[in-house]
Amino acid sequence: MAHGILRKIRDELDQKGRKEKWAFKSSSRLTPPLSSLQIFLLYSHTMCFRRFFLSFFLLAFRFEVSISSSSSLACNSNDLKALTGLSNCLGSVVVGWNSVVSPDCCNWTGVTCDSSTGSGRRVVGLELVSRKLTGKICESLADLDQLRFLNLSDNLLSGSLPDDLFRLQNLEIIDISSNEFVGPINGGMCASSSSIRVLNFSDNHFTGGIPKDLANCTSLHHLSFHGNYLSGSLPDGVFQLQNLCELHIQDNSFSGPLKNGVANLSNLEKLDISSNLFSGILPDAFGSLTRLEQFSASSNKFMGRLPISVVNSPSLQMLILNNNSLSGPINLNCSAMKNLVFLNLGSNLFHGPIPDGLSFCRRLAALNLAHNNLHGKLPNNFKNLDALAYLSLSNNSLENISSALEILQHCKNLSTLLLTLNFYDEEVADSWNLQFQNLRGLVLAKCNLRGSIPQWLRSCTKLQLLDLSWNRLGGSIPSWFGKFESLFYLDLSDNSLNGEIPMILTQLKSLRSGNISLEEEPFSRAFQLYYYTRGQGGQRLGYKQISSFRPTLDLSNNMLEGPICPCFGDLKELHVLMLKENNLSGTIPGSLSTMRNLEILDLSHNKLSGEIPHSLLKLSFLSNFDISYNQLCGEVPKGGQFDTFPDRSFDENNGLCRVGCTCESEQTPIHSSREKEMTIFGWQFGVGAASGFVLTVICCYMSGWMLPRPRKRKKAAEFSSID
Amino acid sequence: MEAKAIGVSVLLWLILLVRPLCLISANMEGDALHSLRTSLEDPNNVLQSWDPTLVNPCTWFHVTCNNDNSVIRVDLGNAALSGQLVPQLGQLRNLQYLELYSNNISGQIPSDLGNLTSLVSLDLYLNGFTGPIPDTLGRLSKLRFLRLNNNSLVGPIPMSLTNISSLQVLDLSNNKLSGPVPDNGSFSLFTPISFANNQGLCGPVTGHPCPGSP
Repeated sequence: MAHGILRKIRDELDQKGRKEKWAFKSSSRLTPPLSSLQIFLLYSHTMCFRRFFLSFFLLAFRFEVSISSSSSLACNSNDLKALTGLSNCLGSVVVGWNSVVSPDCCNWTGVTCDSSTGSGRRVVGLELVSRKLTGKICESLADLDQLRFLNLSDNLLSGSLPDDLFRLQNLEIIDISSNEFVGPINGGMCASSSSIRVLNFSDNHFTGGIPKDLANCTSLHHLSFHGNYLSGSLPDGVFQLQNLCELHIQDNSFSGPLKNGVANLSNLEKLDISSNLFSGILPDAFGSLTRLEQFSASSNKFMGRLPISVVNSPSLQMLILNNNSLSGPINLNCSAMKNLVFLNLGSNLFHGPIPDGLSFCRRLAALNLAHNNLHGKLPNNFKNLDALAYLSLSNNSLENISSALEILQHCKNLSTLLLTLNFYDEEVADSWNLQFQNLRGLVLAKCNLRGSIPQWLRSCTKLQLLDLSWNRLGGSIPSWFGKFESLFYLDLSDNSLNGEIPMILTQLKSLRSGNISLEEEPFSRAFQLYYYTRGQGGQRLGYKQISSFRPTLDLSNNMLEGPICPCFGDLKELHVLMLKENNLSGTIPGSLSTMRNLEILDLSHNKLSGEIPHSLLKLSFLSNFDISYNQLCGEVPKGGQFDTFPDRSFDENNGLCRVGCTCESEQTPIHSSREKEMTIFGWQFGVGAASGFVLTVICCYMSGWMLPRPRKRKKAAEFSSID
Repeated sequence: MEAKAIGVSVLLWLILLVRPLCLISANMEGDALHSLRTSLEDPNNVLQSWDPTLVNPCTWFHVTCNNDNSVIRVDLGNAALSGQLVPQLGQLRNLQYLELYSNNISGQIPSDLGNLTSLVSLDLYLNGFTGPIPDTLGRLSKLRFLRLNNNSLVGPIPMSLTNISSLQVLDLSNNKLSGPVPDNGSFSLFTPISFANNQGLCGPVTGHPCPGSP
């Protein structure tokens, strides 16, 4: 996302506000929502935040006053010339910049002047955020010699930065994030002055390393280079920035170890070095970082144990170390880490049981220990984690699902629970008295669980996402699923469910009217919360929150029978409908064309008959359509999205063709002049494809490559499900 | 045995080499599509899920990736979009289907689209595109569907398009194109319907002989 300065501040407020509301949630539910001012005051104790915020507002305030008091004075002629020069370099016109209509550039959009007299008022601020500006910024910008803050974030500006930019002696804030700037970041930073406090170059295409002379920027307290293509090791100069409060260099290609020098940054509050190529052991250098609240180093190549100074940090609120090669037992000292709210140690090599000491981190709201080598039972005292809202333990070797659910139901704030790939081959707990009233997302897939869809799910009335795929659940889909008014993602695929598809599924409120709550989860900024594995290679797609999933009904690979109800057309918000590999019969209802948001429709491997309704041409978002292996006949609709579907989407049907056949004449020989066009759907092709398929299956089976069911738990990530 | 060991090590090296490259390229594709989002107006929020902070754009609605997490489809037909396209679209190396028909998109067709050498279908019909048809589209050697009808395109039909031997469906009707309609190469297949209702087209297929031709 774009991170303009103002947006940054707003995000900051949002995040802090949310966090605070979060912390108060259990104790004072009736607290009215905090106003931004209240939140600001609440957080003004944070040194960095206060400095950043106050200085910005004082600047703004001063200028507002000055504008009203001295509006008769025009802007300095050199500044006017510089702005005109800048406007000529840009590829697009800035609305409100016109020296003919308005010769006083202090009145131009985004321009702020001071109150100086003499040679006219001077331009001190330039703020053009999210204006779709294209082209380059040229040297004229450097002629604005009184410029103090520059914000051009979230545009389409390209080219490299003018060399003279850093010669501006008064510059305090530079935000050029979310543009298309390229090339190395110029050296000469802070050579002529060290007044720069905020530098935000994130989400561009900068290459090369961090300039070594960055150390000259002694006033710097906010530095963001994230989302570029920067590489090399971190220069020691970075560790000399004593005033630095925030350092964001995630999503680059930095490499080498994280040096002990990080211990010098004693004012640091936020450090994000995730998604780089850092390696080696995490330095035990965090003891002096007494203000550090957030540390993210996920998706690097760190190894070894958790440093003692990290697992004893009383200031840390957020510790994100997932997707590394860290090992050893999880030895957090929760009696020291009193402020820990978010902990992500997923996808590492930690082993042993889940430590029961974790339950003393009483503020813990989000805990991810997925993809490690943990085993045994869930500790009983997890009952005490009152604040816990998000828990992922997927892909470990945990046992006893009944006891785990019995314990977790006491965590009254639990809203997301991910337990995929555990409890192998156990019987699913079917106790009526389990209560999970705040659960919004439940993923219990690939466990090979036995039994039927459990009754206790009825208590989960807030459920938005439910994934029970890749188990061995039998019986029918219960009609009480209709009670899930918020459910928009349902995956029951790869089970042994039978009976008809209950009509109640087509009455799910959030799939009909689209009131999907877009409420952002408080931890989504720090976590890739959910992973969805897909296809044979099992490549992993990250999602940040439940609402990022495509609204989905996946009932494929069961033993469902009966017709497809025309009432599916009512699901106007559904994006994915997967009914493949069942025993469904009857025709494809033409009313499916009213599912206007449908992207994926897979009805393959059933017993459907009749024609493909031509009304499906109306589905302009449909990108993946499969009706192969049915008993359909007649012409494939032409035009719209249908021209883009491959022939294999229509394979193995009685009488489908691109041109000139009808269902009535399916028995009569095909007209000779059409024969050439038909071959692709003709019987020769069918025989070839079928024998090829059989051969492939035999080969795969003999080579042990294709497994009918997950044979080993860790290797089961063959088809889609959420971890 | 040794051969096997060598094979395994080669494979490992390949994986090590290719994986980071994949990650980087997917990021670039996300950046390119995010530039498109920035440049478009989206009153119905169909691009709401296009979050560039995700590792790749494969989870974005209306975007389809292949198994290597590289974008192969963008399906945004009939989505009430306006604004302009961006040259960055040319960075989607594996894009096969670009479906942007029935919107209100304006501005020029970026010549960078000629870099999309995997493209099978370029559907920009029923929009407000202006300017010429880029000559570079002749590089799209796998293109089967080229539908640019019902826009306000001007200038000549690039001769380079006749080199696309895979072209099956061509619709350039209802524009403001001018100059001769090629009838060689893949263009020998097409009938007047493909070129109807343009102001200044000439040649045998239009019924208006070109000035100076016999």
